[in-house]
Amino acid sequence: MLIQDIILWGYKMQEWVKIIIDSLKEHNISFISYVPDISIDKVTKEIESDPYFTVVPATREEECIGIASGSYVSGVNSAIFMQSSGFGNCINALTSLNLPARIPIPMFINLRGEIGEFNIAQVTMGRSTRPILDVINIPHVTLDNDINLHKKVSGNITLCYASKIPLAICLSPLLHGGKIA
Amino acid sequence: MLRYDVIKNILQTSNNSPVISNLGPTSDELWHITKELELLPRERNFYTYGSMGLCSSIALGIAINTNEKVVSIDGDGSLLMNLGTLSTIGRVSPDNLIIVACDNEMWAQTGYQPTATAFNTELENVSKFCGFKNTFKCTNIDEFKNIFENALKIKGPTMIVAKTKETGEFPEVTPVEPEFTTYRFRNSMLNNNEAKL
Ligand SMILES: Cc1ncc(C[n+]2csc(CCOP(=O)(O)OP(=O)(O)O)c2C)c(N)n1
Ligand SMILES: [Mg+2]
Repeated sequence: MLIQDIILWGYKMQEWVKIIIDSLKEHNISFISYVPDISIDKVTKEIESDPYFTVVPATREEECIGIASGSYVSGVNSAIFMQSSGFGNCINALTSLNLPARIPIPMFINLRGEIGEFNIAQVTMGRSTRPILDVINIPHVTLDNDINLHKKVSGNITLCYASKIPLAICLSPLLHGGKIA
Repeated sequence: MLRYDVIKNILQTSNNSPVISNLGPTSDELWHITKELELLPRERNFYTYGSMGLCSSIALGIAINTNEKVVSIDGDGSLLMNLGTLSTIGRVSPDNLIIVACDNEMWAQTGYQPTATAFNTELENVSKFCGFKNTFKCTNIDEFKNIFENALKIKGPTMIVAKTKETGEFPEVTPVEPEFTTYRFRNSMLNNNEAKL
């Protein structure tokens, strides 16, 4: 890799990270719960070092849903960061808590099982994340390029609070170009 | 001791504190006892109807955002489904969170099957080693009353394992729509925090 590429790559990462963080702040989302993912880490590291945010790392993504829902019902908007395998851990919580109780939570999900995937164990959950979201009627948007990124993130969060159901913002390796782990 | 007496004592002593309840008879009894005590509509009741295991996770998310005492009335089966949340609570250590685990040593509402607390799992010790500041266990209601009165005064997180018995009867399902609970609970928290709707 050329040195210019590395600088450009770093700049691009910062741009999408910044857009996500700015969008969270625009919507007064100051409470974050997550289970780590190496690509999502580019955002969660920034969030953890920003005093605007209260951050709760959880043991399991389903737990993130409970904690973030508690935050919303106590009056503080919340969001969740996880990878697609972790979305598999959330399905019953979403369908039996957030949908019936109308608790809107934007979920940032790093999509595994996309280009560059090397781990067979990540393929099925990664590739079925969006079909499952469709079946349970949770809207989703995929970020796989830099075009209209702010509109896609912030506009969909507006929609999330208007409709009072959760929202999935799926992140593709085409966006973050990150190493997959 | 009956879960009914535990819940009644919580409602009688915790003023307007947020109370989050485990799915099934715990949530249903919470509504019925609130009615009996003529406290309806108690806006700070958060009934759950599903999301088994998340009662205390929801309570954690609430506790972080308020200075009030927050009470989670959980069950042994549900806590065992999500023991990880006890370690997260130990990690975050909110001093205003009280968990009352109604430990009947069974999944009662699905047919009284014994859970692991009927064998070798001790929820108060699990909580202690997850970092809870205070852990208690009790088997009768007078003991519970003393422990809970104290728990409202001391710094948590606090785990109270109340060993409860079943009567063989369950009350009618709570007649409150979950989305109404969300709306009402959130409004009452917002008003209290003097934030705008
Ligand atoms: C994910 C999930 N698995 C299983 C069930 C079925 N179920 C509902 S309540 C319950 C038992 C809950 O046990 P506990 O928390 O001890 O409450 P108790 O019935 O003893 O009051 C089970 C297994 C469910 N609702 N959700
Ligand atoms: Mg039980």
